[in-house]
Amino acid sequence: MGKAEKQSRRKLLLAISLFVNLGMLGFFKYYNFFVESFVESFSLLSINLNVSTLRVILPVGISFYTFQTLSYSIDIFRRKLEPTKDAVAFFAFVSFFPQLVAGPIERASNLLPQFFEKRIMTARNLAIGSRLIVWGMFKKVCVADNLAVFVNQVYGAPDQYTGLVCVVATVFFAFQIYCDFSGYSDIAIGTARLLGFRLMTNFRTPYFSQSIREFWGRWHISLSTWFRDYVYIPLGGSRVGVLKWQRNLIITFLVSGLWHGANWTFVVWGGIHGIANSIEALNRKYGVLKFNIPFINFLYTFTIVCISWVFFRANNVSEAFAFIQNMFVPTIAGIQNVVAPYKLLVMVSMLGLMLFFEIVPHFNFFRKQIWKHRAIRWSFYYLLIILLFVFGRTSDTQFIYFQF
Amino acid sequence: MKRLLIFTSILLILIFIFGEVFRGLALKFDPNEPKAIDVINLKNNDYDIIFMGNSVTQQGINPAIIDSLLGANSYNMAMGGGSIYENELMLRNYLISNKKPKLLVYGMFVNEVSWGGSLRPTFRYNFDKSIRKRYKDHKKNTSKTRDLTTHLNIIPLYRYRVALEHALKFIIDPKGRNYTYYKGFLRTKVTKKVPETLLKHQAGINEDSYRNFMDFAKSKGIKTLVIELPNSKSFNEATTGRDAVLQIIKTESDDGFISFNDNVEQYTPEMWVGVNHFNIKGADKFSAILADALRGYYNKGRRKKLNLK
Repeated sequence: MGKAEKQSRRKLLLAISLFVNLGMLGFFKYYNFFVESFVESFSLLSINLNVSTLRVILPVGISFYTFQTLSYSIDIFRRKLEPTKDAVAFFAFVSFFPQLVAGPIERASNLLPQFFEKRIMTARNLAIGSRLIVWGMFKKVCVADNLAVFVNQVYGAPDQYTGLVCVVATVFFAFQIYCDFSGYSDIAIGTARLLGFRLMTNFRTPYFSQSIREFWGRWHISLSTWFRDYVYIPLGGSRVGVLKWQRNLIITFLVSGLWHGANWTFVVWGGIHGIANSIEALNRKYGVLKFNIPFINFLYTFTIVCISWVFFRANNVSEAFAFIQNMFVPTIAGIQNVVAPYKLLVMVSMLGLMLFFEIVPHFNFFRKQIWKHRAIRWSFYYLLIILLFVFGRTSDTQFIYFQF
Repeated sequence: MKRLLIFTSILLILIFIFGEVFRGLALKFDPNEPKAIDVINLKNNDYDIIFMGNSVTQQGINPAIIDSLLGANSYNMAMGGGSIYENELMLRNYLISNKKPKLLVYGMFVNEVSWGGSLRPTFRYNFDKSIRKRYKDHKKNTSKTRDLTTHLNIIPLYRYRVALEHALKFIIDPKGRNYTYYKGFLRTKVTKKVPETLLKHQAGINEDSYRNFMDFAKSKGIKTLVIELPNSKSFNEATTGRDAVLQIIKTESDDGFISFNDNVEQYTPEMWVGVNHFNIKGADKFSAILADALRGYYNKGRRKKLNLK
């Protein structure tokens, strides 16, 4: 594709590349979903189709490395990137182990050239990498995995809980998935850094966003920018009429939802974000509602995000709707039946610590007056490591994004 | 590099210090740790009857009542959270330095399916070397992969981390942790109301562990009676599939099985300290009933003065 001069030949080669990449993804991840949905839609018309589904194991990380190879092909087609002649470097880029299974989804323009650079293990890289790994481990095993106990209990028997328990479980899930996924990203970025590689930042305190649009600028940044560059902009982005613009937004989010998993719950999850983004975009354009109270904006964003997480976590769409209904039952009783008070205390403490240490670096005073002292920095990392030993859950917990 | 060495050295010292602190916390606040050490270190004893099982048995059978009514010398070896496999290793460890009992009473809890094969690391590191080796071989044969916790348990800070939970529980509810031990029996005067409804749960038993336990007792010529202790009414109502589990227990118990879980209304609300745990009032009442039932299995004829110290 890089050598071809004729546009038609380049398009043909791109089409082949897309077909192969998306074909593999579609075969492993979406074949059963579409077949089952097809059969179900016919069964509504009392027509019973007998179509066999596949029994294949989803290759780990397929959604992530497929997107990396796609971006490589598209960037070459767009002449933004020179094709590499080094097959080893290319396959090392596709299968770079720290981020292979759950991202960040790297662009060839960032990662590929790093394979050709001379890398030396430096004390600075060692320190930065280790810090990121420890912080990521803390978020995963101390926060996410502890919160998972509560979340799994409630979402495992959704008909048995109502009111505050469901609200708390959903808020906990919001932080569980954040700490699980961003924890993995931190470990991946840290591991790569130990080897001298710099991967892109994937999260920037997303729950402090003031709008859904801002949320997507801070959440899973490598994926949201991928969809922006390879789906939203090719569809026309915002440089089209209002209706098409909104269509582009919603399509991008629906596809993003489907990327997460072959289930209607993910499509609805993407749809909620798409619609919220679309409403915000229209509001920005026409200025109907103007909120300038940061707390209200934060509350609005966090509520929408949490409601969408119910669909992400539930087993099916009807269960998710029933769960949301249960959330609005006015009762505060029952938390003590979910987990023991001590475990709840551990969950809240770990979550509080994580939030505290995510917030304080944003304050200049902390950065310039406190963090500059080595004793404080070291104490912080000693604390994290001791907490890993004491409160870390070390068994039966996978990273959530491994399933994608 | 020098800084890294200093950082790592301080870290190792901190891990060691915190490990020792946690070991101390375990001995002070973990209800199982001091008893486990006592039981593991029992030497040259000649108990007529020993009771094994989990916390239900530990809090449900008072050796003072049994000794008094049967004229026996008994000991309650049951441990809170004790799995069948853990009990088997406890028994093996006990038999190394003590005479075999005339009767072993095993209090079977019918909800042990998930933890039937587990052993607490704090216990393991106190066992006799031969038992530790047996456990290591067992893990090697049963686990496909060596999980991370096996390695981490070498570090005392990790091994004793549960001690913090017990210490915090004590801070949250000091009255709830008000207990003393008498011959292994955990006696508490606290009463806790049993909720009228509980979440449904499935009964289960780790059959392999149970079979191995019974085979081992048989191989040592120890007469073993399996019993089911009373649970609260609401706990029983919430348990599904109990009959099938009882059938398995009965089939494997060569020396007999008795369930005391059928007439639980006789235990009044002030006798409970949880959905299936007795306080001293409940334990004394049940122990008297148990002693009566044990007459057919153990009859020494010697009577001792009731001693409730």
